[in-house]
Amino acid sequence: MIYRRLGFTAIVSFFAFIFIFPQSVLCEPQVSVPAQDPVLGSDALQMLEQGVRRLTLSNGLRVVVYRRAGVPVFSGQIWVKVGGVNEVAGKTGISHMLEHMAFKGSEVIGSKDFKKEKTLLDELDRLMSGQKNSLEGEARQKRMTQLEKELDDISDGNEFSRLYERRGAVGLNAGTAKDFTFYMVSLPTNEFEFWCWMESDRLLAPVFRQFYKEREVVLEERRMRVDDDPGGKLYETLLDTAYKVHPNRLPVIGWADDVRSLQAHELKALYETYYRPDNMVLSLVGDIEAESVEPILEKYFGRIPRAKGDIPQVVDVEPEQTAERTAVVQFDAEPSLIMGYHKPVYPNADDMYFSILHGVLSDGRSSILQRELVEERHLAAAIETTEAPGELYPSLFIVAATPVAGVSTERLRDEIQAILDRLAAKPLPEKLIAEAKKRVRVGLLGGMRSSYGLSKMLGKAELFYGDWSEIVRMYEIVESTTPENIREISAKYLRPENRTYVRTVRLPKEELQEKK
Amino acid sequence: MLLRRISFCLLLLVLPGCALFDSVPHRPEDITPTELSYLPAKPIEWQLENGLRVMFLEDRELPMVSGTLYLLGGSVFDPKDRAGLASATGAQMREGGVPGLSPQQLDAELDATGAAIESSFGEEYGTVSFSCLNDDLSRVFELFTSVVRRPSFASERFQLWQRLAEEGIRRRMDSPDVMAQMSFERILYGANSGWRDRSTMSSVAALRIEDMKEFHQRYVVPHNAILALSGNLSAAEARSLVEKSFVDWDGPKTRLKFPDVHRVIKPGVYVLERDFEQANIVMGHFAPNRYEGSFPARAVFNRIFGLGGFQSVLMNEVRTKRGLAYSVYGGLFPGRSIGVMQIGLGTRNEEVVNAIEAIVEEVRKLKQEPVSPESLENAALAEKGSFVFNFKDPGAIVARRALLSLLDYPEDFDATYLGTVSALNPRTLHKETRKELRPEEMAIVVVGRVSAAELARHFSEKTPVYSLEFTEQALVGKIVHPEAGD
Repeated sequence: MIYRRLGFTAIVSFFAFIFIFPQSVLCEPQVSVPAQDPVLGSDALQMLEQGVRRLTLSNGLRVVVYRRAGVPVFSGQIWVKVGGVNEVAGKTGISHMLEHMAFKGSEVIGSKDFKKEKTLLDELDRLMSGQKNSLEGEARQKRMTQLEKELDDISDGNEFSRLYERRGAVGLNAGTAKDFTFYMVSLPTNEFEFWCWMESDRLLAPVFRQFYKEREVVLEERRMRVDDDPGGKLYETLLDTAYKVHPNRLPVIGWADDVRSLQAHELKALYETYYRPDNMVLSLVGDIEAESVEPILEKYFGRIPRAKGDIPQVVDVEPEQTAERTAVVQFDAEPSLIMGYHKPVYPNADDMYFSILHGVLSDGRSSILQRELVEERHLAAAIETTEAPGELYPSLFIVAATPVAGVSTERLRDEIQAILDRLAAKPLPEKLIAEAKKRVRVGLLGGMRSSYGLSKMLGKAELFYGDWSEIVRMYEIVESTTPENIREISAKYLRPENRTYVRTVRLPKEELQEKK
Repeated sequence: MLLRRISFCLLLLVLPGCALFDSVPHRPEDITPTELSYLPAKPIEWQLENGLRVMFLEDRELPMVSGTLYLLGGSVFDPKDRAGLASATGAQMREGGVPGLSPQQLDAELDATGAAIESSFGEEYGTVSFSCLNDDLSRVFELFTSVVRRPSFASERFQLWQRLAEEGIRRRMDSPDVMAQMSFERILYGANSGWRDRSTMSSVAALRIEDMKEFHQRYVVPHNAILALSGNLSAAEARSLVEKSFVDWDGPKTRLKFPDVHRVIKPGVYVLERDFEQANIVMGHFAPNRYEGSFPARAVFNRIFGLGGFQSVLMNEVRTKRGLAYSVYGGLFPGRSIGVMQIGLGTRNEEVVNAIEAIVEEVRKLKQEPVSPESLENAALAEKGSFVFNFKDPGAIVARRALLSLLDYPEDFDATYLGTVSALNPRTLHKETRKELRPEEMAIVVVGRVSAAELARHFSEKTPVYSLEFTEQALVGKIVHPEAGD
């Protein structure tokens, strides 16, 4: 679960504002609970255990609240357990599309005449889905433009965010990942009821307006993040190659053809299936007191009806990988590589030992990969480790690196593997493990200053495990990591047979010319 | 009529849970927030005899202490043939070791405690920062002081930095956004100005350790420095900590003279033809520096123009209405000597002309007409309502105070900010900003799978179209005329 931020991000975010987007998508902190050290004083997990409040509304919707008194601001987040992992080939990108649509307003917000708007939206949907007897070609395009214009006249897809901005909102945004979709914003605390109004309203009666325009926006997003970015392409190819069966294989942003084929009415089915009180969590961090806000939360969010029936579960099981997999990405850029090794996720304890593995391998200038491959042997220009694509189903331990000029990606791959093999053969000194644990602990402590980061950590844990305090147990396991644990997980998982290796290659100039 | 009213009242009596005052308001505007009264703590400030200013706030939330030393000076002062010097010095102060500790030993010690010390220099100023647990404060602050005052600049580390910097320069051509931004800056500032990144393979290769030592001696001095501290300690403890380490710190008291910018941009469309799925466009021209005009008015304008989320004109016209971009921004960005009016976006290659035309049209409208009162009100409320986030914890408060002071913002900047925003009206805002919008003067850089000849056919003959080559050195331009039939 605890993985590190990288250029290759598992979260496809909604906005890419250069100046507004939250600068630091916070790392899930890698911390150990200091079992025996009294000198170090209070620690983050103690603070959370003392301060976090859990509420359950009448409809089963859970809320986690952590109070940071002082500055009258708060971070409010909505966590929904739906993401790329719930999608199927042919319709990838739909959860992310729904996330975009969630900002377009509701039957009240952004609507000037909803009755008329609904009629036009339904007609537009029928037109776009190419049903029998519908228009085609130029006539269809003409009618579409006409309808979109009429719709723009009676609706305002910007009203939702405009209302928020007028109230001093900062960081109004959302993100879709493999296992979740989350919506966030920070506001002054005196706007708490406003937040409840806005969020509950869009959960109750969202209207997916400006869908076909937004599809084009998502395609631009895809071009930016994947098609024109070597890192993005490497990552997408890694997932597609490492996984054969499990939906972790599919890109969260969606394959371009899939996105082009998405229809507005398909979003409704997704929303009805997953956006239900027993599949969501609210998390609030800031100068907010749980007892005081409970009635307001109930008043607004308690309106959301309980859902009937079961939530579809992901049943695919990825078969074990028994031989190395490789792939090549054609890209006119300096070479880079990515390697992924299949690994389990929490509640398998091995997942927690990986936090320390990241710590010793790549966290800090004295970490093993940095020191040996970048500094001492001049083989890599940059190297990082992380985990992806998700946390609820078996994931990948990832090493991403760029070689210095003159070093092949194959050579760098082999040197990285040699280091991992060493870790598998011989336990590391206890000192290194202890230091990694301390870094994890200090990182978690520092993270307490970010309401956004805390809200994220609590919301996700409550959503995934049904109890935010699972975090405490997870970190207890991290704290208990021994050198032998590190050696064992290295031996068990970081083997070439369990590895997928993807690299970029330049197209030869002649082929480039032909392509043009 | 009467009957209905009676039954309605009956309904109320029978079902007390439906009492009207409990129902959810029909619209969110019906929710009136209580008054937000928040006075951010004021940092304690003092100055040492050597000129070093210190700003401090207690923060008892966590058993940690952190601080940042702000230093005036940066890459704007790099000699042209040694471009990269400030960047190298900034990095090497931290990476090159300190007296008594090799670089590796320094790294290992910090990694072992979970403490961090980082340093870097930008264009105009640099920072050296630290963060640690209370228990490690004494030792970490000592190391921090050594990084500031006595960096070793170990040659191995410097050579490594050079190699990695060269790798970074090599990889510029992998990123369309980097190429677009660098090309734009080259067109605006010209070949020689330090206000753009002029680093090249040769300028980085030409750097020497002596150069870094000289840079360090000249710019890492108390007279042009401010230390912003916050954490779990008292003002008295902070004073004593700083005294111990910095009271005997000395250095020249030179007043830095930042270079002016006097350039007339050659307007036009500059095309760098590269095989990307999406075209990266950066366009704009010069604008006032940060000391000219009204900063709050500009900030409000920027929200309306292209930095205000979905409300902005650019977002609405380019992304929401036309679906032409995912990422689009625009605004007046002030700098020390000069500012830039800059717009940027990524759009599919076939829509480059449409996107540019739509944007130019919007810039023209903003130039010609004041914005609507509603538009201004939205932006002003957003600016005022979110102001509190500048002060979200003691660390943020001291950092802001230090930076505003370092960059010579007026003393009453924060005190008068909200009042200035409130006093704006569409006419005064228009007056302030219309001269900063000059669409006919814009340089428009396009990096994508478009040909200059193709674009020349679309744009009027008044708009020259140039073809660019991107090398690490500079750009080579040649004008492509529509008649030339390229």
